[in-house]
Order: sequence, then structure tokens, then C-alpha cells
Amino acid sequence: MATILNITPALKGKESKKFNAVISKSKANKISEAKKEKMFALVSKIMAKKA
Amino acid sequence: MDLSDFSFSSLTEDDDLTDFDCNDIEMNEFFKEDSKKFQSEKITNTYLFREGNKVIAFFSISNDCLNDLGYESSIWNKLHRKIKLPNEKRIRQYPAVKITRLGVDKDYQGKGISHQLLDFIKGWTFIEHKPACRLLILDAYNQPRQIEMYLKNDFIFLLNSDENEKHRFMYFDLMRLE
Repeated sequence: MATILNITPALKGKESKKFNAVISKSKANKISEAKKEKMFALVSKIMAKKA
Repeated sequence: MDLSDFSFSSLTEDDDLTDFDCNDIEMNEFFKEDSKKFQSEKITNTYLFREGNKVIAFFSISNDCLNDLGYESSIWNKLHRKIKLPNEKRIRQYPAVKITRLGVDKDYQGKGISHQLLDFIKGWTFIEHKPACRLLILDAYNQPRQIEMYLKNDFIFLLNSDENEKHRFMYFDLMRLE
């Protein structure tokens, strides 16, 4: 197998601080309801066809 | 072009992948030569979208984990060592799904398939993935077209330190879909 799958790096220092600052806002920074609805509808449509 | 027009399935040993070409040598090589082996070794699983027998797009995913070692200042670390306090450095682990590869056939590029594919992976992981999963992680080619596509789809750079590398790690927080 020639392909290499890169290992996800651990976060530390400033990069950890930045990451934590971003994800602490995720609950408030939601994807819009319209976009979510479209996304979930796409999943349902594809999975219904698969079944 | 709507992604739901195509049939969705997981990769099998019998799938013929020879016609697929996403205009990227490394990606084609992975898909045609390695994807079945990686799947049989349970390293990464590949899923296909097809029109008839022709594969128009694929993505590969694995379980992953983001280790966050924290950001305590080195002064405090030195002090802790000096006064022999136990190592209280916290480690947080965020369960994740890593998109290890993703490709769209050249005949279907520029038609919005990549965006729909990312929407599908987000929604599908959020709805169908049984173990808890907080993040979608990928390492994108560090090329303007690819980076712009992921940024448009709400992925964020994980690091600053890989700014000049061939790939950049990016993530999407699935909490944003709650």
C-alpha cells in the first residue's frame, strides 16, 4: 500500500488555545436551519434510495 | 446536478474502479490501487457514488481522535516541576471521523458535487455514525482551489504551523449541527 494517511497532530500551546476558543462558540455559531434542513434532506434522499 | 441522482454504496471487492479519473495522480492511485486493501485491513472505508457502473465520486473515512494537550504556560510547567507537583497537565480527547480521501471524477467536476459530498458526509456522520463524534477532520491539499472549497463548507484550519506544508489539517465541529 503506497498511500500514506497522515496522522492527526496533537494540539498544544497557542494552537490548542485557538482551537478551544473556536469550539467554545460552536453551540452559538450554529449552521443555519435552512442549510441544516437541506443537508439532512440530502442524506435522507440518498439513504432512502440505497435501502 | 444533484448528488441524490446517483446511487450510493460502500466499496466492494467486485467494484470496477478503472475508469475513475479525478485529475490527481495520488488520489487516483489511492482509489484504484490501495482503497480495497485499506478497507480489507480496516484502516479506512471507502464509499462510492455511481451513475450506472461509473464511479462519479468517492470518499474514504476512518475513526480518529484529536488530542488536545492544553495550553498552560511554560512558566507554570517549570514551576510545577521545580516544586515537584504531580503532572496535572490535562489531555482532552475529541472523538472524530477523518475524511482520509475524497475525489470527484473529472467529468463531474465544477458541478457542485464536492459541496454536496461534504454536506452529505457532515449530515450522514451526524445522523448515522453510532459512536459519539465531535469533529470531522481532513488534511486538504494546500492549494487555493481545495482550501477555498473547504473554507466555503465551514471547515477551519486546525494549525497555523502547517501553513507552508503540502497538506493542511482542517476540521468541522459537528456541534454546529445540534
